[in-house]
Amino acid sequence: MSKAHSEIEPELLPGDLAIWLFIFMELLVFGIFFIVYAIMRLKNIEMFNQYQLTLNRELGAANTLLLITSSYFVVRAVHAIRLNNVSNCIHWLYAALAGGTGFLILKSLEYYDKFSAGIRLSTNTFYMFYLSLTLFHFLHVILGMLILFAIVIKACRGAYSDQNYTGVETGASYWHMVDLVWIILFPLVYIIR
Amino acid sequence: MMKYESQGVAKLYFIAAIGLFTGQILFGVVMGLQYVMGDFLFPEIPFNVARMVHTNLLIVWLLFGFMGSAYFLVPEESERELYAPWLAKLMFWIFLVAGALTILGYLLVPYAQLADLTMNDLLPTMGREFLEQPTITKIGIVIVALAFIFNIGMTILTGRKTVINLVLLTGLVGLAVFFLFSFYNPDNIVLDKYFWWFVVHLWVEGVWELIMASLLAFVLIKVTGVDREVIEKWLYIIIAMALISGLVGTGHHFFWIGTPDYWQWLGSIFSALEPIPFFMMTLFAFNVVNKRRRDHPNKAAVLWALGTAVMAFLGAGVWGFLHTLAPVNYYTHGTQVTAAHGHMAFYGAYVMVVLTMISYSMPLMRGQKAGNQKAQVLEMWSFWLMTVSMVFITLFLTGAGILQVYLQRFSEDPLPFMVVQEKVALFYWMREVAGLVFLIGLILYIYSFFAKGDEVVFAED
Amino acid sequence: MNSDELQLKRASKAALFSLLNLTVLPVIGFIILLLIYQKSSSDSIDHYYSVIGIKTNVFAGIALLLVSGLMILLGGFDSPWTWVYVVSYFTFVHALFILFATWVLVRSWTGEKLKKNILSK
Repeated sequence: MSKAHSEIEPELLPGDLAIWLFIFMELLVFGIFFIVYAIMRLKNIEMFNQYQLTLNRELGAANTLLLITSSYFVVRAVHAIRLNNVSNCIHWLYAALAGGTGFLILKSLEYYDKFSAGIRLSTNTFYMFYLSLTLFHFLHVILGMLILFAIVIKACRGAYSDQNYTGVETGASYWHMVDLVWIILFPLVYIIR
Repeated sequence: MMKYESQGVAKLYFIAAIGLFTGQILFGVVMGLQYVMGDFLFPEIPFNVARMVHTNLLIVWLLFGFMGSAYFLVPEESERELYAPWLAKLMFWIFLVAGALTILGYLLVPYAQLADLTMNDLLPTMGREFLEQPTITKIGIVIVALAFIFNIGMTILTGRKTVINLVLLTGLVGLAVFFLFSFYNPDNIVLDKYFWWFVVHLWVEGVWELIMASLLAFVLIKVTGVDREVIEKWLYIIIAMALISGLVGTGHHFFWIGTPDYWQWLGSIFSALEPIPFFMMTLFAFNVVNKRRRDHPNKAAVLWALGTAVMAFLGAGVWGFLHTLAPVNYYTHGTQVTAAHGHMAFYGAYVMVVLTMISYSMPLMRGQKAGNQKAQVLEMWSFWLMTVSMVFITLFLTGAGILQVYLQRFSEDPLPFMVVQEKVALFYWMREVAGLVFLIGLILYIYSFFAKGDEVVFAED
Repeated sequence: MNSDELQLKRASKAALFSLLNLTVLPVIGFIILLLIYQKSSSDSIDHYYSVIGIKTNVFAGIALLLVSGLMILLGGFDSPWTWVYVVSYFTFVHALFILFATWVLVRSWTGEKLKKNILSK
């Protein structure tokens, strides 16, 4: 890494500073989305409460578990690469990817259920927020998985070691953000009444 | 001075771009006067024709500028000659002739007759703002674009792949793909407008941003000598933010055209974030120039690059945000506020990035590292004249727009459109004066290419 | 981390919160800026940047809120011309302050003080 860049890199944040800029902006996007959701819920509290009951909480809870577990796996992956154990790191990353895949499958089942019930963005305000928020997050899971997968490929080529693991930390940081957003989103949309 | 001989084809494209740019400004000045003197040049050049020529020339010359920039940038980034220089030259002439014929068509025949002549009824695509081109011209644009992307794509794929040329290629492919929506012309006027924005919005607030970011990054690497690695990271963030905010941000055009009302939410939220990528570009350019490893002799190019970063943020970012939220847009939709934003955003983002590329590459193609002292001074004068007058055009139109919103839409007893237009006439006069200053700046800009003077002394090599 | 680096971190933090106070975190940004100022010792780079940040934001506050307020007060709330001036003025001048704070932020990253025009160098 160039000197120019490392000058501005706070040690407190693991991984590349660039990903943190990106993470902060992503959190800003989700943050605005959540605030708008909260305001609209206050304005239409009965309608929101009524349709919230139609959401599948069991699947949502399972997905929460999947993402948290998967987040734990990337922590193990970072830990492994710090000990210079590349193959272990790759295995943990695969495990994290499996968690992400599980999330996508469960979420797709949920969407299938909702779409076949004729629910669309235009059905009502609650479903508009439910669909757009979760869909936006869904896309982030895919992006996070692509990032993790790119790291797996680089790791297989031997790009990382106990001296150079910024890339792994960078991907892990992003994956934690995807997890964090879901941890806020799930209670906000599925549970809080 | 060029690293690869085939980069020279860019010169043709840039000369045509500047020529058409001049035409655009002349029609802009004519039209600016027609705002206050409605029958100026009537019936030879009615307002609607002047407007069509003004906007179409803008798009065509920016396309020339993008193509020229790509032909200059891609060989250097890919470290090989252009795949087929002859194809680039051939396409240039096809595009130029087709473009000139189309503009002449607008000027010489009534639009309806032009539609008949070009057999629009076989595949009707005409009659929509910015996409007024006869169907046959649109087909021509697609052919030129495909040949261009093939040429650029083959050069990149068989050469060195960098983040800059891959981002550029993605932007150019996106440009071509989204243009295809101009062939889809549903009878339902809501759907018609809906898909019309797929071209217009996804161009200027989507894929063009990728083109802009990569061109700016290229010039900044060249003039500052800052590490490629640093610049690439910035590029990743900028394009990610541009796409995240820009794609769904299309919704800010769907507030009041008959589309479902969830667009008011999606459009407001995502388009409120659209200033971020432009702000990132400002931060990026400032940062890179601040960290520069050398002082490039081409000071004019550095000025243009910084100017692009600042003006794009002002025009696209700030002036876009000004009226993007649905409750605000409820009042400002389609007023002079939109015109203010449109002028500064197009100038600040796309006009200036093309002029940055021209400023950097033209001396190289003419066998110098940078223009001579006098040429650079003149060019920098033209920069300030055009940029400052554009700021004033924007401020005057903003003033006109706010007055218009108040009197015509916000007030307790709203006045009719034409009455309001007379009340804002003073702003239109001031805008016209600013427009004339812009024209003077442009003339100076063109003159700077011919200025003779002392060669710049190089600090290095 | 030695004290120089720490100062540098705080300097760029000060510049960052000056920018944030102008944009997405008004008031909160300023409070954090004051805290950074308090922690800094005079003559250090973080002191320098927190002072610039505070000055910028005080000026911005006067230029934006006070002047706009005066415009509304003197022009009248119900006059369209008031809003013509206030909206154009506020938008443009606010953007200029943001651009200035951005440049300051970029300068703070290198640990140098602000200098004259970059192009005159």
